[in-house]
Amino acid sequence: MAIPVDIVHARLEALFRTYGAKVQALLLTYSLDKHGIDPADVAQEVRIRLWRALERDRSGAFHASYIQRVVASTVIDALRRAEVRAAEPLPDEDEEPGSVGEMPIEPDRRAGDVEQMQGLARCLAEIPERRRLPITLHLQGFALQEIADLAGIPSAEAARKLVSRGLEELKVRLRELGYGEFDE
Amino acid sequence: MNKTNLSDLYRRLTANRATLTLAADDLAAAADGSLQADRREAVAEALAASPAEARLVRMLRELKSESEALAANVARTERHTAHRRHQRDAGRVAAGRRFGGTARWAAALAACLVAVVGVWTQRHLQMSHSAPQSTHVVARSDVIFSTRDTIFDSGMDKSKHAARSDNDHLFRGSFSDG
Repeated sequence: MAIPVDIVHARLEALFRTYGAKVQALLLTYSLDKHGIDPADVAQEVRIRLWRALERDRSGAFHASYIQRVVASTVIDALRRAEVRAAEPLPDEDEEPGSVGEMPIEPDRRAGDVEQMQGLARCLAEIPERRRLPITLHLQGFALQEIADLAGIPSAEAARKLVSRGLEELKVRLRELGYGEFDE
Repeated sequence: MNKTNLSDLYRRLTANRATLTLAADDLAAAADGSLQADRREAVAEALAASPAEARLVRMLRELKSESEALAANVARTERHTAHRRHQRDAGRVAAGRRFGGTARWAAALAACLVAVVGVWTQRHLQMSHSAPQSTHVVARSDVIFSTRDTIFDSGMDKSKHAARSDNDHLFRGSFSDG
């Protein structure tokens, strides 16, 4: 009987390819490509690192937590490289420095945005720290249960109360200071 | 009046001044919900201040089920490989045993043959050496017989002489007396 090494290799290759495609799709879904990384490159790097890990220790356990760490470290490395590239002076003057992280903003909006951002930073600084952390995590897009887990809040319901009260307080304060109306 | 989206504004604010401060382990633990208590506050604050890291943690949360599926599939494939390898090794051992039995029989037969040939050769050599020995024995026997002959000869001579002399003596005496 022929040794099925090729079959196993092909099967693992297919598994890693499918997983890499999922990573690539999620990088786009979570807009990490807007931070200066190429999702296809990151997905390929993830596949390579997983292959190497498997080849290095065939008998070792290939846990989900280990796979998650491989993805995290690959994305973080790519983000750091993008950060370094963004910090380097660009030879082409047409390129817009500082736009690596987010969508480009029109010049007329920029002044108003800067003003509003300064107002938001000021209002957030006025909120007590215990309430500020859940609000800022919420504004970064975390769900209530995630906020509860990360901030050490006993339940999602407790996190919801802290977030809703804090947001209301923030909006009122911004309005009072003349920064206009805000939604979430 | 248009309302500004607070989340968008906050992410733009933090994107402008964010630096990547968290290690991969912290990010994976935050996504997994397994952060150590002493790291929780620092990690939460870093995530609140960094849109890239916050997005990565949220992405990892969504990826968790895929990672678990991949781990399970890799383990299954590896187990299958190990099982096939084990079967192959077991087959080799079984074939080795079968061949080993035949080999043992052949070796035993060869040993018997060698022993037979050895014995036969030794016997043959002994036989070839035994010819001069028998000659020697015959010669010795001759010596013994000749000795005996000598003994007999001397004995016979003695008795002959004695008898003759006795007879002679007796006859001679009787004759002289009578």
